[in-house]
Amino acid sequence: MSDSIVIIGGGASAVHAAQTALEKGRTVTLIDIGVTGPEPALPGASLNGLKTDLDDPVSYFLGEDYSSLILPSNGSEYYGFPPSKEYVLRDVIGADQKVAGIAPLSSYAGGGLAQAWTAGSYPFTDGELEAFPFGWADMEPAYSEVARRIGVSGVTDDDLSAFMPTHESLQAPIPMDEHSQHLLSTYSAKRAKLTAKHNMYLGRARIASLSQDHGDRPACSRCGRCLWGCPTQSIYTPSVTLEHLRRQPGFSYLPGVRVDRFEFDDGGRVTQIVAHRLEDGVDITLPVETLVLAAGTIGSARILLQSLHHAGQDVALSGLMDNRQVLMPFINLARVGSSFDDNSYQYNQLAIGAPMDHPHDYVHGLMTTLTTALIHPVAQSLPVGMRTATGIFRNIHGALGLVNINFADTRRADNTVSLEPGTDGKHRLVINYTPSADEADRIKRVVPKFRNFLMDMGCFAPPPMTRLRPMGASVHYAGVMPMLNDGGDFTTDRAGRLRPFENLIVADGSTFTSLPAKNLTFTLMANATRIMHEALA
Amino acid sequence: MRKIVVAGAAGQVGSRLCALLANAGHVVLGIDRNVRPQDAPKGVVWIRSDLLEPQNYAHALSGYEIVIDCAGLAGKARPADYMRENVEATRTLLNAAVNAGVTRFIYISSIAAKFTDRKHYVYADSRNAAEAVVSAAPLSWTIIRPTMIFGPDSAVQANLSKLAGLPVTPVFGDGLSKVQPVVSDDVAALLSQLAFGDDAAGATIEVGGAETFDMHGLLSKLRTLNGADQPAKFVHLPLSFMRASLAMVEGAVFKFLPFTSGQLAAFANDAIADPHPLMAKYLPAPQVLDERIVPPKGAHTTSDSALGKEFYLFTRHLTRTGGTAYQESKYIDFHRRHPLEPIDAFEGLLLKVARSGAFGVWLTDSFTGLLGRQSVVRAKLVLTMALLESAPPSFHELDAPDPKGMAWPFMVLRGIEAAFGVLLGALIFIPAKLILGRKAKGARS
Ligand SMILES: Cc1cc2nc3c(=O)[nH]c(=O)nc-3n(C[C@H](O)[C@H](O)[C@H](O)COP(=O)(O)OP(=O)(O)OC[C@H]3O[C@@H](n4cnc5c(N)ncnc54)[C@H](O)[C@@H]3O)c2cc1C
Ligand code: SF4
Repeated sequence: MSDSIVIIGGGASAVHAAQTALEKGRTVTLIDIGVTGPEPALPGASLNGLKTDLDDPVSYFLGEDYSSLILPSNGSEYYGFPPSKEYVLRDVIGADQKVAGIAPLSSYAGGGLAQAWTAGSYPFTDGELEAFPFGWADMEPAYSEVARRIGVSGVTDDDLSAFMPTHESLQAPIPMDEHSQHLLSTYSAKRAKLTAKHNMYLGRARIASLSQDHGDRPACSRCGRCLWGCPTQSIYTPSVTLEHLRRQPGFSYLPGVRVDRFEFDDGGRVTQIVAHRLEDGVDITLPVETLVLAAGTIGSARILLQSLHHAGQDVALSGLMDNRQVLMPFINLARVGSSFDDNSYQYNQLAIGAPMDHPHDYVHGLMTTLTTALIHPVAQSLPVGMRTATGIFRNIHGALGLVNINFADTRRADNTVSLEPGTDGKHRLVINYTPSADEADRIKRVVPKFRNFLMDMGCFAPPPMTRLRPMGASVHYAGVMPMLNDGGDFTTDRAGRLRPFENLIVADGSTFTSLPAKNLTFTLMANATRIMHEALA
Repeated sequence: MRKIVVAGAAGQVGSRLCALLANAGHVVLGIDRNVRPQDAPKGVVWIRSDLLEPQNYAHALSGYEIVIDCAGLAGKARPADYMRENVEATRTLLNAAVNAGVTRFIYISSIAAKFTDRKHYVYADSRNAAEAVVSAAPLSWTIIRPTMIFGPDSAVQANLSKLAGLPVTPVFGDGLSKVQPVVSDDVAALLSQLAFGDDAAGATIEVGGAETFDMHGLLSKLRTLNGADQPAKFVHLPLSFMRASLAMVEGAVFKFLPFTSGQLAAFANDAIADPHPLMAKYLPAPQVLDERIVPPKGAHTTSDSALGKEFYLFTRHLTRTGGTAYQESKYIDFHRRHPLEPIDAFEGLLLKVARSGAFGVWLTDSFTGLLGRQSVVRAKLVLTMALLESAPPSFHELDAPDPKGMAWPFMVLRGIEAAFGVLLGALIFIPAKLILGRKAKGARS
């Protein structure tokens, strides 16, 4: 392969593809829409310090225009999206898409969706990689390499570790808040009974958040601001790698540019990309030797479809996947009336593993004891007056938790991404998704299982508060250009080379052949790394 | 420019004192268990700490000359708490100050320190003990003993005003004990002078207000200022019987009592200040109690707009802390951008009832919690809660659970209250809804 590589995208997939290519001695140009966020407010302050010391705390917490305020008329989520992260989902391209059965989110930020992620970082097992054209042994070096780059903390010797193979460079876990400690010690005390009865396992989460200093990023200081954006980059986000890339020779970054399509010759060789600057609409063409598509599953699909359309070929890409999530708030009865410390790491510190008959169907529950989220969204979901809700919440706040139950997904032919002509002459993306035939059944089996497990842990999960999140809400999209050993056009080989092209590599979630329940982003980064190693070998 | 530490800096005297000193250009370090109040002047350095945890603040005292201790526990509390908060806390602060090289210490005691009839009144004992600690310290000290302190955030004033406003006002004992309320602004002003007054070293000064009343007189005055046109009717409760019986049951039902037997000492002792030459010098003309200090009932100190009034009513309904002017401005700002208007006559009625007062908002909140979840009133209450939890000082209250062991009982009580509210609300509002609905239909056809 050539010496000069152009990568489209600025998210988790793209930056690790870029870092690997650089390390392999290539020169890299990264083209990205690249919206940036605000500087962190009062970096030294704790969460309550922000409330106290900011001049206008309401704007910070609810937004200048109150966009993060959840009122009864728009209240279906338990957490408002923090204004400080609004840039992550800001639609700067006016993306026109028609969706059915799924509402995918897109990010045009430098760093992509993972600028707002919760950092859960779980390697896939051999069983989960079954449909992939390689196994754990091929992925292990890449997982270790990514862990070295980003810093991942957790343990390797608890019950949950059985579902998470061990890679190198794992930091010790971040100290838990009191509630998480309480949950884990309850589990430990009743372990034999719980595991025998439910075949479910609780343990420390693996997170891309630092318990020790890593380069110039400090260890988590437990300021409690995770949800509002870590002011010290102790939580990894792809912008950390992006900043690092920009300091290296051989790398250039072109932000503010939207790629519309690439062009290719009759031999299937990509010759150039056609893009335009967002600022002034000026068209740009850039010749390419090797092109890497890493604009996120939806973003990459859009570019491929537009390129094909321009060449007179309209296709539908199939196999779109996303993890179904069920949110199960619970209350830890023993902790009712307990006070809590806002100065603690806020994202999930614990996870629940529920093996199913087939290893691929493993269900992954992320357990959060978040205390710093605003409570008005949850408080109003109770069927009582706000005064009663306020009085109740003061006492149960330190006892509340949430399990986010994630289900695996598989590629199916009728879940497609395609283009259709819009009214304005431009083409818009059409995204269709139907859950698998047995999904409802699986949910019906698994949800009570989690509820009973929690009950045996002394935690009550009120059934009316358990919510099925709409497809798209998990933001784990994958699967439209799968890695298949003998696939047809618009599938890739295990090195991400997209058929029938000669010099086009896909390095994001589009290449996944199945989607295990564990959050995919750690694997996205590792897979992008592995792909670049193999493709540039 | 001098360097001064104010302990209890978020309290009613401490906060005013901080502002006076900081605005006069001094360097002020405020220490308080509570967060820095929103309106504290920018120049005040803040350490949030219990005085009993010197590890949080002792290191910061060096370089300061003067410490003014306005922290203290008054009101209803258990004996051990009085001793800990009033004696031990002061001792700890004083030791830290001496070690840091502070040269002057001013202690705010209480007029109760000179009460002679102090049955069950550990509060008074705790003030005496603290005075003894201060006067034995190896630095220049001054002690002041204020009488009851009035002002916009005075709990005594609020409670007495409430009593005075009742159709029949209960008075413990004969109502002839003497009182001489002093205004918090005056106490702060006096302290800001005494801090630098060398002539006050070693002095214990009693501090009272402009007027002396007996209890009847004070209650009558409060009633008049409150805007009542009928004179007060008093009913006298036997003081010694009340004190004795309260003392007996207090241990068991402490949580549920509005006050303790000890606190009734206020009705058995004269609480007036002996004149002191330094008072004449530093606080020659204390304020009298008038409308500025005791505003007429229903009058609003910060806001005149209907939305502002509504906001304060709602914040009082949801919390004890209430809202701030900043939060009110945000409430109004939200309505400016996203008007929340009733969509029909019934919604309008709900809003009207909610705005009518504490009972009205309680009733509509209870009702809409179950049967009007999309109503404008509920949206406004959710908005109020969001503003309360996003800014000081109210966010603390929303985080704090009830006292240990009381969470379940209180939640059960709240549940009962809620059920009662829904029931009553349904009885009133459902027929109203039917009638208004029919009217609207009639008007259309
Ligand atoms: C709130 C939240 C929590 C999450 N929590 C977790 C978690 O705990 N664990 C986990 O594993 N995952 C989590 N995720 C998911 C994770 O963020 C995504 O899986 C991941 O960011 C996908 O990375 P990507 O690089 O493939 O794509 P994206 O992040 O979508 O990045 C796409 C990039 O491409 C650029 N781009 C797109 N189109 C174009 C174009 N036409 N021209 C130029 N540039 C373009 C964009 O600017 C962007 O930089 C979470 C997501 C969210 C929103
Ligand atoms: S990870 Fe969370 S708690 Fe830790 S420093 Fe960052 S924002 Fe604070």
